Amino acid sequence: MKLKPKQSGIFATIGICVRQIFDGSFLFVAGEYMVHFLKFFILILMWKSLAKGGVDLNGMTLSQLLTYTLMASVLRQQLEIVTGATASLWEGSIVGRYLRPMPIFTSFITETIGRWWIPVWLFYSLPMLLISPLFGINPLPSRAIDGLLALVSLVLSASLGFALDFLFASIAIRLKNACWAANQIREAISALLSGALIPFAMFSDAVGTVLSWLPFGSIANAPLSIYIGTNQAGFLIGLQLFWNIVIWWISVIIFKKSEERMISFGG
Amino acid sequence: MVDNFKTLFRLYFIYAKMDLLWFLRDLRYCLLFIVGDVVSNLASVTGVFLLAMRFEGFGEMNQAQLLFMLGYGSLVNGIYGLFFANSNTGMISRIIGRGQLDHYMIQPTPFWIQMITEGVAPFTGSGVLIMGIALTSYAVVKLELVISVWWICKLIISVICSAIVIVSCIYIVSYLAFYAPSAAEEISMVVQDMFFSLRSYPLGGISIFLQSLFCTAIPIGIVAWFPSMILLEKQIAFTKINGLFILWMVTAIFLTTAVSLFCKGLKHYRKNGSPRYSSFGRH
Repeated sequence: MKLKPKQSGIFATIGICVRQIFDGSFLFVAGEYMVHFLKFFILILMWKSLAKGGVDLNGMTLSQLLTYTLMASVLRQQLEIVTGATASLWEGSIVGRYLRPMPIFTSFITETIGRWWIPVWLFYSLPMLLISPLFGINPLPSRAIDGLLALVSLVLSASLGFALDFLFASIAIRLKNACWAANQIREAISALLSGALIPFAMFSDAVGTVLSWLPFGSIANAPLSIYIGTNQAGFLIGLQLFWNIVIWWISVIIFKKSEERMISFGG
Repeated sequence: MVDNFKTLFRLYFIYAKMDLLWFLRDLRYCLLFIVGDVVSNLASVTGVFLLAMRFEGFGEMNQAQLLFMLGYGSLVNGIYGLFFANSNTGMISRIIGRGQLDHYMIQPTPFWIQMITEGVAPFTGSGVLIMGIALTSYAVVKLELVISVWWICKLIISVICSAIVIVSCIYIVSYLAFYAPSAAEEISMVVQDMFFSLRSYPLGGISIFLQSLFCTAIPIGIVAWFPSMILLEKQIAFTKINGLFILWMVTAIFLTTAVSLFCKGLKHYRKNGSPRYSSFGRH
């Protein structure tokens, strides 16, 4: 089957980006994987030490908690989406994206998939899944149906992640040279508020409930909670759909308006 | 030697003045950067603090002790931010990888003076330090610690040691950039990320072997947990030797290794320049 020019352009961009990530920056990428592994390892040690102390994990079993942490690490690129939108604005290379024969959003999404999703999946996520039993972690979902629902939820969370990223990029456009500060704040708060770092169930009930209702909470907490079988799949997917509609709508409008104000000094 | 110190303080003064001028000229952006630093530091400690609230402490530390540890970590982050984060001297692999060491070599000032003075930002880079002082002071009051002059000296020395360990580790790993400038250009960021994202976890509940590993070979415990245990006079499971002595020894070992590797790399650089650039341009 021959691909249409539009589709082949998307796949070509993904392919180029996959090759680029290891083109000369292998040491940086390998170091980054090691730090992520270390983060995962220390969290696992923390949870095991807490469970050993006999504390109540808010209805979660240690096995569920470990699976949650493993999957948060394995799916980190899909759960913490950062496209090249803000960085390319800072560098001035965003202008090149407007010359490509595809919409600007598609360009950033394909770049993210090529540059981050595929290499991380092959060289970090897959090995992590394979070695997880050595840490006493079951990488499988609680039930097959939970795994399927988590997959649906993951698609929605990635979509929401892209929408939020473009919204932040719009803010960055308006902040001009201070876009790096906006990015710094966004990266720091999103890891905490999304539940990718610490499951909401580990916080007090009030804090956990508030965080799970926020748009960030629909990004990591929703698919991971469904994966470990917390029996809230319908509600969580519904909430994700709601936030997807709202945030995409806002982000497309604000991005279009911000495009007119785009100024880059190069970096 | 006296001349060197005069130069050192003159450069500190010049960078401080430039920082103040930027602050006065561009208040809106400066405030944004300060808020950015403080919010991201707050976010990095909030997760552990919320866990501490939920479980009334963990990792063999109670809530107030954990708060002290988080405050201490912020102090260290603040010192790093004040002295090294505003230019790439705290991200030395970038300077090496981009072939920018030439810029330092042509200056009529010793290398080490340039490295420790460049980018010092006492006005715009002190947000996290102030936050760290506030958090630590609050924790000290909550813990009802008896503060003596010696205790304050111990705190200051420990914070400086922790900051030296971070910078030393960055320089040790950045040594790779002398030989693989393109591949290792951003490697400093990985080390920095390792320290700042993992410093908030108390290591009390883990095995003695891992505690000692994280306080020596992979010194993430040296950035907050280990010195906090010393200052709170808590028993450290993996050693019976004086904790302060261990902290000094670890700092000395990392600093010596960093200096000798950097000098070795510099020697290579002086002879070969940056292999990043050729007669065909940059690669």
